[in-house]
Amino acid sequence: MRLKKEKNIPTNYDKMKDSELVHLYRKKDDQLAFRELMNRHQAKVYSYIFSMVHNREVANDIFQETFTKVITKMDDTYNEQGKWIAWVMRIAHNATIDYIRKQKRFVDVSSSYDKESKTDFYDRLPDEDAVNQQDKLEIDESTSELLEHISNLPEEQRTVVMLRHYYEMPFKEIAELTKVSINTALGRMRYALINLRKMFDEKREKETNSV
Amino acid sequence: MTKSDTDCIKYLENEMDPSEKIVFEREIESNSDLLIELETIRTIRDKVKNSLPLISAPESVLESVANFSEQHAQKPKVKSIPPYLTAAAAVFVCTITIGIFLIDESGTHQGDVINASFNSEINLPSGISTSETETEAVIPWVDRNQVLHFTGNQDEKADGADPIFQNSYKHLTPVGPANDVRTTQRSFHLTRTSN
Repeated sequence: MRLKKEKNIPTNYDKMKDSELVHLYRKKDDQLAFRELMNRHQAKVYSYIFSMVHNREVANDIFQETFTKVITKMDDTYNEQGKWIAWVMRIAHNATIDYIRKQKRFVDVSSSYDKESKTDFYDRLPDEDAVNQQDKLEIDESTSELLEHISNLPEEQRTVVMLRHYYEMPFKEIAELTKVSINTALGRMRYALINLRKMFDEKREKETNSV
Repeated sequence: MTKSDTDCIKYLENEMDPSEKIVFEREIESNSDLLIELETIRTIRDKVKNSLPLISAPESVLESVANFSEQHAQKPKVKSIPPYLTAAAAVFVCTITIGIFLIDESGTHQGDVINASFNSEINLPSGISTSETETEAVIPWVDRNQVLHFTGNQDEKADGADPIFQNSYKHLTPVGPANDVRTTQRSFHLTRTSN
């Protein structure tokens, strides 16, 4: 999705590097440069946020919060030496993690674990977001299944998978962003993939047994 | 987590340097368990890579962000002053303030000394204002730089010929020998020699 047609961006902006567009925006308040930057990266930023929170409304709010901070803080905190999108991603990641942690504060998950059904509080909640997500995104069954499994991954593992997938972020940067060592970041990726594999296998088993 | 546990991920994600890659590939050939783990992780990784959708933000959200950016651009920007300029300004202000303070202090101190010596010499009767007593107690000030010292013999005839010059002697007051002159740089002696 791109911004409205009447505000079309000149074709030469397409060929510009991010750093050039950022420079135009910062020094000359060039709004078209900002629109071009947003058009380039919004889907990745939004996908990352959405894949972490699994709720359209919340994702919209965090996306807006992220770009509001980008606009207001760019003059003070962005150093043009670094990649602009990595800086934006850091803001998006922090905003997302803040939201997730705020949500977690309200429920003590460990105390609500049910040994018989082997489920916790969240497992027993109806997954309304997953339904909404399928309605709105019109995604196929396998993608829906994948998103569901990813949403069940621990937050740390999900973060590494998403940052790597949507941004192809080097593990060194992921490690810096999540404040762990590179080996820990690599280990989280490995566990995430192994866990996803298990989840797919368990689901296949269930389907086979039910048939 | 051992180093070998993360090797498969490092290999798949191109995080190995060429030498590490060669060593790992040799290990795969000899270790079938490692090969199985590698293929398992590769399969699920490819599935994630190919299936995860790229979701676009709603147009209304994008428009509101763009509008916010335009509004923000219209606000007058407060330019931040570079830190070195701030430091320089602070040093300048401090220097000026300290300078003024010191000048003021020394002026006040001198005044105090004068007043103290003045008051110690004269006991002011009650009811007499300070300004009146100041005029009485003033000691005539002699500018030693302006004193003309004469030494040697004076020619009476020559002096008598010039009454103006003779009258000028009446205004001269001897203040002591020439050696007493403290500031020799700016004083001068009018002398007359027989030559």
